[in-house]
Amino acid sequence: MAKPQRRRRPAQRIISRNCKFTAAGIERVDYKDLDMLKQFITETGKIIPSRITGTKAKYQRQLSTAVKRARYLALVPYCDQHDI
Amino acid sequence: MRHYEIVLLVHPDQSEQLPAMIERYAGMVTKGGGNVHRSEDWGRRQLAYTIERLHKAHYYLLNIECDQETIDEMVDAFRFNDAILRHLLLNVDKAFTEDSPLKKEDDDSSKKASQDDVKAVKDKEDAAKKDAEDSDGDFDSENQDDESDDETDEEES
Repeated sequence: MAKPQRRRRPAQRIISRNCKFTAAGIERVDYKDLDMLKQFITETGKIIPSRITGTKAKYQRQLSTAVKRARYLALVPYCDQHDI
Repeated sequence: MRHYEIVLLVHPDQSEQLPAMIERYAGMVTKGGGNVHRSEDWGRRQLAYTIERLHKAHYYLLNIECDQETIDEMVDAFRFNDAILRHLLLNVDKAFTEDSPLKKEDDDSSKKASQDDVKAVKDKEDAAKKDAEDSDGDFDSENQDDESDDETDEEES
């Protein structure tokens, strides 16, 4: 008799299957576009993985550099532990 | 000649010197036969985390086209300028001339604030003038206040 398979926990975040950048026809992810960047970072400042947001790999790579540039310029926090 | 994008974070206490600084850097670029394609002032912004115990900094964006010598010279200048807290230098593949998203955001929100500031300064100047004029005659201070209030109303309308 086969071992009963353990049930996976249901996803806590809504998983999107569509890439927002492809849909918007964006050429290059811009580190200056804060409203857009903030959609792809958590409250703690982490970059949300593409498996959650559905971003295409090409844009996820651009997004990661964009967020890192914005962090360096203090436009976006590195984490939620900053003593501000 | 390559295209570069530069973002400068300037100490908020030294932001009055910023126009002169930008002029100097633009002069360096044009002297080396380059071009300034975009020059944007994002104003004083809240920092996401403290830098040198500061909570605010003045941001400035430059898109330039210049040769290697000029860019080296500029980076040196940024390093030795105490007013510049941080700078970001990027190689870009073309000249960007349209407004950046942050500039647009600035235009929407902080322009109103800056206009208010200008208005407040104007009101103060007017009041000071009036004080000087009225110092000979013995006017009540209440009247002066009323007058300045009227003026602000006119400007707003």
